[in-house]
Amino acid sequence: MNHEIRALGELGTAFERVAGQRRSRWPAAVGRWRSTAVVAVIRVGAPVTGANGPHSPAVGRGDVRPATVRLLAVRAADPGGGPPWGMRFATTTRGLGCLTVGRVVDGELGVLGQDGAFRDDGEFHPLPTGSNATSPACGPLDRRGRLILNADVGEVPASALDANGLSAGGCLGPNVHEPGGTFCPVRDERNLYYGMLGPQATSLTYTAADGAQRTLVPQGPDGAYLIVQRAVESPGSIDAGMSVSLEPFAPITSVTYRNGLRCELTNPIASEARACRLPPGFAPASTPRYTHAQLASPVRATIRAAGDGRWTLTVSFVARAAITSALANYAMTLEVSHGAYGFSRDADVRSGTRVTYHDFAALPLAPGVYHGAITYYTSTTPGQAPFLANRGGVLVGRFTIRVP
Amino acid sequence: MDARGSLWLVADAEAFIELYRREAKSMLVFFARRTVDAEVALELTAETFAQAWRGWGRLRPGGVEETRGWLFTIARRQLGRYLRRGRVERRALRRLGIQTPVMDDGDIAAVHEAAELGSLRDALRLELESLAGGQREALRLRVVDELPYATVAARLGISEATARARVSRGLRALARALDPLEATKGTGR
Repeated sequence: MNHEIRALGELGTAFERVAGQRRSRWPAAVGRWRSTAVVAVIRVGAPVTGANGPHSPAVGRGDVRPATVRLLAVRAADPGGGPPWGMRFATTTRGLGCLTVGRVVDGELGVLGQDGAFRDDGEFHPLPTGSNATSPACGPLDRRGRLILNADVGEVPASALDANGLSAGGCLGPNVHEPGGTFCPVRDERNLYYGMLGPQATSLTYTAADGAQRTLVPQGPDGAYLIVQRAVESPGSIDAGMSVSLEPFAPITSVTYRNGLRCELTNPIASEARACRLPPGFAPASTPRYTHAQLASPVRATIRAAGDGRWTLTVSFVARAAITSALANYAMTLEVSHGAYGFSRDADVRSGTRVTYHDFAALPLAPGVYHGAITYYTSTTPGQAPFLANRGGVLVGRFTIRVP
Repeated sequence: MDARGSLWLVADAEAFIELYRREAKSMLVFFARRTVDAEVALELTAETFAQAWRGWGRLRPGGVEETRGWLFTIARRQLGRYLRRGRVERRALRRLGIQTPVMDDGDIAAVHEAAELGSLRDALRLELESLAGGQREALRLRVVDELPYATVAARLGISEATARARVSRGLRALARALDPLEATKGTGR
């Protein structure tokens, strides 16, 4: 192509902006009856018990701190009726704040026995505190211990039971690759947009399902909001999953703050873009600062043939700095012709211990010499990608492997 | 996010942007040669990359060709929907808050040149006779005579949406004629 296509460049710039908001997937009162304002009466069934892997205070998100759990006042009606949607906040042992969304009955968060969940028993099933049967949206707490975070989740069953709760049955969102699984009918899927904008936010404008611009007032000192819309995607489409960011997602079009600042999200005003880069009230957490000299460690790397042109890589190094929260980590990167592979393990590490990375998929590597590195990074912004942090990360050491 | 750790092809945003830089022009040409319309091709390119970004986190590590194959699978699905429905989906773009840029005359001319739409139009002109009357006229006015959809609609006494549908369905009917032409072009690389 001889001529540059300006529109393609502009489109690329738009994707760069969006890509900066990393898609982040983090990855019994049986027999009671309760009344709600919306549903005359709903039977309360067994609590949700499905869990996706063991909890650990030192791994992944960490464990929920029970004293911090609170159901927020914000509610949103479901387009299909029934109990409203609500949101629960908690902090974890690894320095994160998390929002869990579900249906609310009598001041309790849970899921509904519909869409195949709980054999369509029509009951309300409370979601115990700390349960990971549904995916929370988590992000680093800021310096004041406050969570400012925005999330969107595509195509969640109206039951509110997502992929993590498979043991309770239910149809699957299209992001779930489960052999033999049944996709939810699109009428039973919801798109959720929710978050905490902080105490400075005074209003939020979004595009409703009918195309109209609506404004809502974020609630409480958290500036909490929750928008529930019918999903319109076809079952099985890929437009699903959770995204987490410091910046709200479409269909939210603008947020206004107490100081009069109005942050336009779809067509940012250049003069306000700088002020809107960090939302008013957000103070990124402090993390330890290290130099390369403080963290330097020889890196050992070996490879082993795994067949079919793939190679198992084992890399180890000594962690000079401890990892004590989800706000810091070590990452391995291996440069290849089309970018780089990266690996990290979300777990606490004691200072002075040897860390070994080997338990990841065998990599397709052509014969040649490859260079890699171990980097220490910190991440204090919701949804921030490790690679973004790596640009400012601290090099631990480099390694080279030769694939015969 | 667990004790076993997570492997990503960097692969997160940086590699996605690299993928865009590497493949966007090829994809634009891919769509242009199948829709004979630079603006529709840009819209399809934008939606394809938006959907790709939505699925990026679930992409298993693989080589350049595997990633490219995955991307063009999404592209072909978008093309199929466009040819069936006569309109470009924008759902993923809406969810990402991205608006497709407007092409200027220079952009359109550049796409025409890169996709060699002139010679493609000549080839299509010969194939038009195989189409039903409504589709043939819509396609002739839009693709061969390069008239705006509003003019096509006015000339045929139909709505613009119907004009778009007739053109896209006509292109679908001519897909077999288009494909061999495309086969010699690859995907514009």
